[in-house]
Formats: sequence, C-alpha cells, structure tokens
Amino acid sequence: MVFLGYSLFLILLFTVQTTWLGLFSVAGVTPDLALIFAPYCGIYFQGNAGVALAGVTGFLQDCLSGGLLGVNMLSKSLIGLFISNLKDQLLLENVPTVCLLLALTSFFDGLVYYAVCAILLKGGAPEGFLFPALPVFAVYNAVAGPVLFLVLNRVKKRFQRKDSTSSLRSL
Amino acid sequence: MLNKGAKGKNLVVILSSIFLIAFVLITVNIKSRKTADFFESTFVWIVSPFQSLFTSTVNSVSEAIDHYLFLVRVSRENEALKRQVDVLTQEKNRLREQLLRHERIHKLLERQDRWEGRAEAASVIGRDATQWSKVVFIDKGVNQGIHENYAVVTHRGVIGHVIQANARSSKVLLITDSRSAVDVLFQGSRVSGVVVGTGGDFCDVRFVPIDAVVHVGDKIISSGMGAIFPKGLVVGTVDRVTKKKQGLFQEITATPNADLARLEEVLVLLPATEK
Repeated sequence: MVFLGYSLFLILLFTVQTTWLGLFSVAGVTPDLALIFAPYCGIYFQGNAGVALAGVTGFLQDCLSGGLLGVNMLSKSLIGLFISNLKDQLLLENVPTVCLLLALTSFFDGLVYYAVCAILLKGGAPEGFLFPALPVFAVYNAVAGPVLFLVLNRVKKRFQRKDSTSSLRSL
Repeated sequence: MLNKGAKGKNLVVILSSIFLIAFVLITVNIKSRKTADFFESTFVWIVSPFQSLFTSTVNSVSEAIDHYLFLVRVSRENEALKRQVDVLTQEKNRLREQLLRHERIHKLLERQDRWEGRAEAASVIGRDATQWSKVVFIDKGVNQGIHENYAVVTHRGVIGHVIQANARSSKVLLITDSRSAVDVLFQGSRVSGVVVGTGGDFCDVRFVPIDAVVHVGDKIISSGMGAIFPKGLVVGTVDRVTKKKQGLFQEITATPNADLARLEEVLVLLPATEK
C-alpha cells in the first residue's frame, strides 16, 4: 500500500513537472520538484529509506529527460544521503535553513550535471549554464521548496492520522 | 564507539553503492542504448497518459480564459489572423524557395530534394523533467509509424527530431538543445552551415566561412544533408552576425522560426517507405 502510494505520488510529481510547471517559468527556469523532494526524503525519512527514495526519484527524472541515464540518480541519492546524515546537526524546522539548504543542493545538482557534461559529453552543457541559469534555478528552488515541504508534510500527517484511526478501529 | 564505527561503515557502503549504480547506468546508457531505452520507455509509458490528461486540462483551462473571459471574439479573430499570417509567411518562403530552386542549375536533383513522404500530426504532452535539456514528449509513437531520427516540424518550421520512439509516445530533441545539430543553407546566398543548439532560446550557426555574405534577417533552411531533415524546411532567421579579425568562421546567432516555448501541435515527417 505504501509502495503504491509513493508510486502514485512520484507519477503525479513528474506529471506536474513535465506539464504544468512550464506555466511558472521565470527567465526560462522552472523549479525542480524532484530536487526539492530529494532533501525532503533525507530530512523526513528514517534510515536509508530517504536515500533510496531520493535515488529512485532521480532515476525516474533521468527517464523523463533527454540527458544521460544515471546523472540525476547520482546527484539526488548523494543529496538524500548527505542530508539524512546531517539532519541531526541542522535546525531543519527553520524556513531560512531549508531555503539555504535547497539553494545549496540546487548548486550541487547543477554542478554534478555540469561535471558529467564536461567529462562525458565533451562540454554539452547549455550556454549560460553556470551564470545566470544556475543561480536563478537555485533561488527559485529555495523559494518554491518550503511551500512543497509544507504541502508534503500536510499530506503525510493526514495519511498518518488515517492510519492511526484505522488501526485504533481494528483494535 | 562501536555504533559510530558501524554507522561510518554503513555510510561507506551506501556511498559506494550510489557511485556503482550511477556508473553502471551511465555506462549502459553510453554503450548500449537499448537497455537504457527499456527503463525510459517503461516509465514514459506509465506517465504519458497522465501527461496527456494534465496537458489537455491545462489547454482547456487556458483556452477558456483566453476565449471566454477575455474579449471572446477579438481574441479568436486575432488568433485566426495570426495563424493566417503564419501560413502566408510560410507560403511566401516556400514559393521563394521554389523560385530560387528553379533558377539553379541542378534541376535534375530537384526530385530527390522534395519531401515525398507523409506527415503525422501529434500533440505535445510534456516537457523535459530537468532544466538542462530541451526535449518535448509527443502523444504519437511506433504504433503510428514514428521512429527515431524522424524530423518534427510545425507550420512555421523545424523544431527537432525524434530521439526515442515508444509505443504511443515519443521523445523529441529540440533544435535549441546543446546536443542538436542541423545542416543548413542560407536561403539567399546558398552558403552552408550547421545550426547548433545553445541550450537557451537561440541557436548558433557554425562553420560559416568568414568571407560568406550573411545578413541579419536572412532565412536559414535545412540543406537535406544528414538524412533527418528534408531539404528546404525553414529552420530560423539570422539574429546577429559577428566577424572577428582572426578566425576562419563567422559567429552567427539565429532564432528558430517555430515558437519552441509554446508548442502544442507538431507534424512528424514520415518517409514515403515505412521503416
């Protein structure tokens, strides 16, 4: 049931990413929902589940993009891993911290892509990638991220409440 | 202490696994395209019905706003006129191209140059899931006779080519993607070049000799070489020409003729004989 729920959520996330999100483009840049979801996995999932889910999200993003398979899987898994290991040291309930974290992860994600392009595709990164595209991308994700975090937390809480009510009823 | 050591070991194992999986995926992607296609096709197959549904919802909503809330008749009339202007401009270009073609010496090759195949209309149902590639998804695939390396156009000109065809949807690499290259001719001077995507809204025209006569506003058409795009399709218009004192080639920027930011319906050019 949990697997089905996450599968549906990921399908919805990527459907929105590839269709509706173009309407909110600023200077040709749209927020990256998969990139926002990866730190969320690291923060709110216990153990290695967050890393695995972040990796799967990156892999699915690779499937729906024209780039190399594995690049987003690598960057999103690393983001999930670092954040799940650092979360005890960070004050993650704080919105500015989350914004800063999302901006940094956006830079990291962009730099992984850039490095892969430079090494494997012989400089196939788009023009103006490092500036202005990447900073705009980081700011946009930092602004949009907390909103998505809020929505995801609400949905998670609602499901948890439903689960606890049904388990109480069964008792 | 023991717990800390176990945690560190666990971290190393996960980190190594991530790098190993990524390395395998990237290698498979580069070495054997078919295996990578399997994963991509499967997920695209799952997501494409949702994309179609969402896109049609977005289109219906935006159409409702455009046509019913804001100046119903004026908006429609304006759109029809714009479409007519586009069609007439394209017609003018086509006629001009035909006229020039007739004037040229190589009349015998004319038959080969013409596009004799048919075209399949498709709707754009989604865009790339990342920021960095210029790819769109269309709602037609192998079931409709679409295969890899088929040219995709609109009534205004070339937009790209199919890089992956699934059963009922396909991935189209736009000409603005940094990995795209189209062999072209300048319509007036017949000088050849290669239109290369920049990853932004414009394209570069490379390998145009420094002494070639190219002006801002010149039309760029496909040359027919490369076996993807048939000859004579409008690709773009010259935007900026820079001639450096040193160097063999000019630096030319071009704007694609088709509006790649607002793609809705496209035509996939199928060959006369099916694959």
